[in-house]
Amino acid sequence: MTATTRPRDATPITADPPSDHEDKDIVLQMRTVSVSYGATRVLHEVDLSVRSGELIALLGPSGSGKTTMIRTIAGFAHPTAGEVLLHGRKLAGVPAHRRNIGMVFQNYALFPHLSVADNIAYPLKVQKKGRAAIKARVAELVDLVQLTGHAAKRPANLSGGQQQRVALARALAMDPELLLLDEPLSNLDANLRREVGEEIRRLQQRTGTTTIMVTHDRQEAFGMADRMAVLRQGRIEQLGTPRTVYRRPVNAFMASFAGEANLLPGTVTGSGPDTQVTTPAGTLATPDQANQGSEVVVMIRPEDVRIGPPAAAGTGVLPASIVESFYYGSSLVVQAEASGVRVQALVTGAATTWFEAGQQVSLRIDPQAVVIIPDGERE
Amino acid sequence: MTATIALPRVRAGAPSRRTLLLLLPMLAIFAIGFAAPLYFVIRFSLEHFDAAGTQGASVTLEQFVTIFTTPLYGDLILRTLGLALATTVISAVIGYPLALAITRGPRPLRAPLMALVTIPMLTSVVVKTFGWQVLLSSDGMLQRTLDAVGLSSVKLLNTTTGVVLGLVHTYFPFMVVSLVAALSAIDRTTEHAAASLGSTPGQVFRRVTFPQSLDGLAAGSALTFVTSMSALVTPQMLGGGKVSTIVTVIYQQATSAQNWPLAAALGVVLLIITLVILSLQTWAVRHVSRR
Repeated sequence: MTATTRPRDATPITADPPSDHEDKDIVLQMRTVSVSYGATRVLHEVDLSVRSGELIALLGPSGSGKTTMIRTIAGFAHPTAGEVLLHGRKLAGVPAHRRNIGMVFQNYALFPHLSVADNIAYPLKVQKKGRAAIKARVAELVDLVQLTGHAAKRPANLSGGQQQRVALARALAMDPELLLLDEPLSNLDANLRREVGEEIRRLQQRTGTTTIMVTHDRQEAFGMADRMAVLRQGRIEQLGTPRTVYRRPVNAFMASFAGEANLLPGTVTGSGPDTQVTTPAGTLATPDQANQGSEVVVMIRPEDVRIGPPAAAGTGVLPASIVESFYYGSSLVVQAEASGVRVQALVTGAATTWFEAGQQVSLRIDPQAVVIIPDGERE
Repeated sequence: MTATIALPRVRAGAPSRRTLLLLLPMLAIFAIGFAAPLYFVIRFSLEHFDAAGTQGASVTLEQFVTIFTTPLYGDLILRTLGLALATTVISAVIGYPLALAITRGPRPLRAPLMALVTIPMLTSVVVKTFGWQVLLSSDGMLQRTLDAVGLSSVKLLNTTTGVVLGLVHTYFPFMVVSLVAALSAIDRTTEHAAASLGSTPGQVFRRVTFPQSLDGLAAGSALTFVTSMSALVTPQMLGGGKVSTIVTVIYQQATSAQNWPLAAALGVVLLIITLVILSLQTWAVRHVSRR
């Protein structure tokens, strides 16, 4: 499997801009980078190009190699093969302190013996900037991260969210060519995460800082990133916009990893605009193309399954009975059975009604929602 | 602390009598082992001493007057403080790099280095000091080396130099252990962060590692200073009667001169100096960490 996106034909739901590797405004490039610790290979021939001003999220479970990837970029881990380039210059042999890559650590790594202002001033003092210039820049950054009035405090006297903003301001103070965020939201209370994530995203866009963020939370990655790279066992499984990753997963693993998915095996019948897939649950139309007669797996997201009154079976109409429902306030998760096959539906909005177990319904699935998974083997 | 929550208050209040009962053995040991001897020392220091050797029952400050008006005792206190200060500074200078090597050095080296530091701590001071007597004596290895390189004017045994050497050897493990504790408590990601923010390894040490180890340096210094100030065996055996400290004089006064009131008064002075140094250390740590 290659580590880059599999470009699809111009179907309406692919939104990736064409990737041009000779692009002038590529900030960081990783070329077939492998990293091993002793006999353990943590990264396998990873390729990644980061364009100026974009935020890329590295998403993966723990042990997938995402932290090793940014540690390698920062200069705390070293490639055993391949090369990393920053603005076209090779980083091999360049120590961390000469890379001008800012990093916000998972635990923030604030200097406990220095005040908020001195923490933020740190990189400027190291650069031997003038006292007046440092003062002005620190004041500007304190305002930017909304810590006005806290400048004299020690990090220990700040909340987690405030500490994180200090870490961010400190990294931005050095005016880095690239900013790395290691699990920026993982140490925050669950109810703060989205808010802080959105704030970081706004800040990143306002400052135009090219950023790579590591996370194991797909909501964070979806919400903040321009593009995301999903890592699995040291390889990039898929790289693309959140929309592409969600709507166009390259394989069954990605389909389930990016969100809830109904995965149905089936046989392709018809071709061109009449392409249909016959699955055990019923026949579904799809705009995707595949060889007639081939065995494939199709993906339907639960929110694309609509529940209607009982109806006769047809293309995209599956008679079904309700198995169980779970009400979550903003949504209702419904498990139904169509011809003995479990199908999950997600119902939202004011019209959400309750479904009783055993109730006869029909599941309606639009052709646009039916995606043929390219690398279709079930996991 | 305010007791706004009912549960802890009930728990804290109810079994107080039982808590006291449980504390009783410890309180008894403390009373017999620490409070009583301290009381007797202070009581002795306030007694009169005359040539006949008998002690009056009256309370008098004459021992303290003697100590603070006789230049001999003033010099003695200053010399003792100087000896302790030299020991502390040398221990810090040797101990810091060693503690760095133990906490940051190559992994296979860490445990053996730590063992080298702690093993002398577990050896009897008397044994160590006899060893030093041999090493420092006029035909010992160190003195001969000095003589050979033309430094024969520097004498080791029965000099302040020899005493400081012995004191450093005996007490610098306290410094190293304190520093190792402080250095290993530092969050290493702060050092990585400093590097990513553009600091050279030297700047990382100066601006991030060292300031965060000041607590340990203060604790180690206080410990080394206080223990070397109150050492008896090392100055006695390596000083050969030519290097006197408050403690060696206390020893002489209590044993050969039988002047217990003066010995006790010198002991009280030593205790006060110790308390001042420990409070200075506590204050310094507070001041540095919570400005």
